[in-house]
Amino acid sequence: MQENRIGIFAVSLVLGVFAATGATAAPRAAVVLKVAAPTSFHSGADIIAEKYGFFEREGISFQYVKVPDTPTKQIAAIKAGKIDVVTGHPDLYVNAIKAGVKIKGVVRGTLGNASYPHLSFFVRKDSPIKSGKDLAGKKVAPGEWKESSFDTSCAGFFWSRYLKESGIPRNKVKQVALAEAEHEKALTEGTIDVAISSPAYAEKYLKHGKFRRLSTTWDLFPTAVDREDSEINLRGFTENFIKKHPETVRRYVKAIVQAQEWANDHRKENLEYFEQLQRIEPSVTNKLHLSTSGLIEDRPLKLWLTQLEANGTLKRGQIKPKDLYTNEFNPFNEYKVNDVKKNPTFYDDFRLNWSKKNKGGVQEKTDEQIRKDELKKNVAPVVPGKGKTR
Amino acid sequence: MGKKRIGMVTISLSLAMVLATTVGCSSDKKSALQGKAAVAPALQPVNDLFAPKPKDVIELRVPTPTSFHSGVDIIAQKYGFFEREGIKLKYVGALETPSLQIAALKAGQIDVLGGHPDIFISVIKGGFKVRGVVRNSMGNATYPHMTFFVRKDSGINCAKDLIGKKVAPGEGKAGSFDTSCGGFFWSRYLKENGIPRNKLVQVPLAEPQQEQALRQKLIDVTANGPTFAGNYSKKGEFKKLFTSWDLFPTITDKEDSEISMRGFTDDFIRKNPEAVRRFVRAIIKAQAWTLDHHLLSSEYVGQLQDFEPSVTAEHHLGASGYIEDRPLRLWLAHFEEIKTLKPGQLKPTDLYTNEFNPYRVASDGKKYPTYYDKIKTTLAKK
Repeated sequence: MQENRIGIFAVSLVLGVFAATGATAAPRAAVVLKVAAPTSFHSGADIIAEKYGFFEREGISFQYVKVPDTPTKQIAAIKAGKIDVVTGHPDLYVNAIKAGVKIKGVVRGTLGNASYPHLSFFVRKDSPIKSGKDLAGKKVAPGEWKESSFDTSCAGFFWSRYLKESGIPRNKVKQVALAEAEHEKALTEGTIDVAISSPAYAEKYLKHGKFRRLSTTWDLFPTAVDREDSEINLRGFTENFIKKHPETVRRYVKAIVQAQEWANDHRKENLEYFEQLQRIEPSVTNKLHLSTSGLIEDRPLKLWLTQLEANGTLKRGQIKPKDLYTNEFNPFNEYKVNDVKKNPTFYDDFRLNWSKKNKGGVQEKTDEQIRKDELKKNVAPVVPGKGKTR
Repeated sequence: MGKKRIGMVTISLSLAMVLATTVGCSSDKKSALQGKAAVAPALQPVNDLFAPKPKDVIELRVPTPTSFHSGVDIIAQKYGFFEREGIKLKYVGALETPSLQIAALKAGQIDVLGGHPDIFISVIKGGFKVRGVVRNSMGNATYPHMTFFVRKDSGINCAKDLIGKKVAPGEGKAGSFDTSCGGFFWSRYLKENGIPRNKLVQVPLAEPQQEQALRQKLIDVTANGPTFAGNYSKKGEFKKLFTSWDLFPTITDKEDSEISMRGFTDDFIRKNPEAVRRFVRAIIKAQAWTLDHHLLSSEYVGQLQDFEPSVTAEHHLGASGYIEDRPLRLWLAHFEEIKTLKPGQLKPTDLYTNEFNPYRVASDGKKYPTYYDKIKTTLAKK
């Protein structure tokens, strides 16, 4: 009798959800994911996803584990089963795979934006450093952690790029690794000459006005597309977890994608979250831009792999972009370009007529082809010339 | 009998919905896949962004795409976002000016209205009830909505040089300082620089004619959407005077200022809520996808405006499609200032509804006390 009741209850529940959604949705089991407790701006989307109910609607809640968000600590924690999810730039995935920990990114996080650069380089106001060309022999913070170096994470990636574009070999600059919270004092006291700062700290420095911004990540790379690509980070799981819990991964990706869409449109409302997370008073202008589809592509990963190969961290071709990710669980993955012959759209007909009028077929180009063509012509797509943070 | 059946099903489903909530909170432990703690089973929101594909197809009549404003429609069609929502578009012909669109909407020839807030204001002022249901354009430093060009030898270097000059007030042949994005950004630029609008001569020209007109000195300043602006920048023949991103004091204002919306009449919404819901879902997803693929989108819209499919430029879109009061206030304040609206004649909420947007359920962050809230409380105590 008891079982029967549960059975009826279950059927009612299915029908109830069906009625509520108008869809064929069945009630889904609750999921608890073990994640590193948020400590930096990289966790922005998680905060939004939790705060605005995106995770709850997907039946996901978190068990927060105290794990520092450095790449090596995250890799160790996921290997030991302390956490289920890692968040990091491509180098985290590369290093994990190199160490035999099989993980894959499942959703893209950050994406470059002129108004919300990922990192900024600061010097003292009275510093003689005016550009990257003045950096030879200087002491710089290579990143936001004590274990940072020019070979790790976003800061190492952007430092390497900045020095390359400035024509300064990396070994001509002295790395003084410090936690980001110590950068301000170190820069003031002259322990370092350049700090590299994430959005919350950058905003703080711009507000108090004691330092001068030397450059930002948006000022690097030749094209707007490269700049958007360069900031890529990914959230990922072990291949084992993905195999055992595909539905959980699907729900997680769906929640993050929606949270990122929401966050990009509601910066003003959401900004202070990140800053408080880093123990900085809310100042209402946090700057972080996110991918709105969460889809991961080869192109941005190639930027990173090429640099890791140049640094000697990777052998040429040792790891391919596809080794680092899967879009299988992303709800946007089902949307593919149409077959123009079988299912032409208004645009395809238009294009065909246009081609006829203009005497010659026009091949549809991929993003990558477009970019290559533009680079050949030495014209930066979208915005000519160097980037300017605004 | 048929009616009865529907009645029974309705009652069963209503009961089930109530039960769903109750049961949901008490069956945690067994259903947990992972970890120690457990939460209530997830209930999909009523309007899920990724709802299953409907079986039927709804046809919507829309103007034939002619400009960058339609970029997202091209993506939505080519990549199957409309198809996935069971939406088919029927193109009724090019309606290149707001007044043509308004006339077609009133005559029942189109179902969907698209444009900046002024088009919605004009329709409402004309006694026709219409509402935006999804946001389109949103400001972005890299992809400004409008750019204004002068000849390199024009001697025009700043706003004060514009007194007495002939300018294209917008990208359409019916443009004026009182209409659409061209008029809105022109008015703002002149205001920020203390130049009365009547000190300039407005010469409305369709965008494809502006290049030649500028060269032949029939006008001194063009007003261009991203496609033309991208091409002018490439050719390097003209000089950029300002862009829409250069205006307004804060980034939030700049992002807000470019707002455009798609909407329907209140009558259509009442009669076809499911069509509206699906249309909004398709547009939101197509926009989110486009924002990650600006290059590809710029190719499409560039060619739509009869340019070689080489990289031109693109505008930026709202990722969630959610409409808010704040950007609409910017536009309403402007119209009150130029006296095309009386103070308080229209409120932002008269212009839109988010009822059909799946993100509506996300609008109240206060409902969900989280890890972050604990940090905030701890910080506040300290």
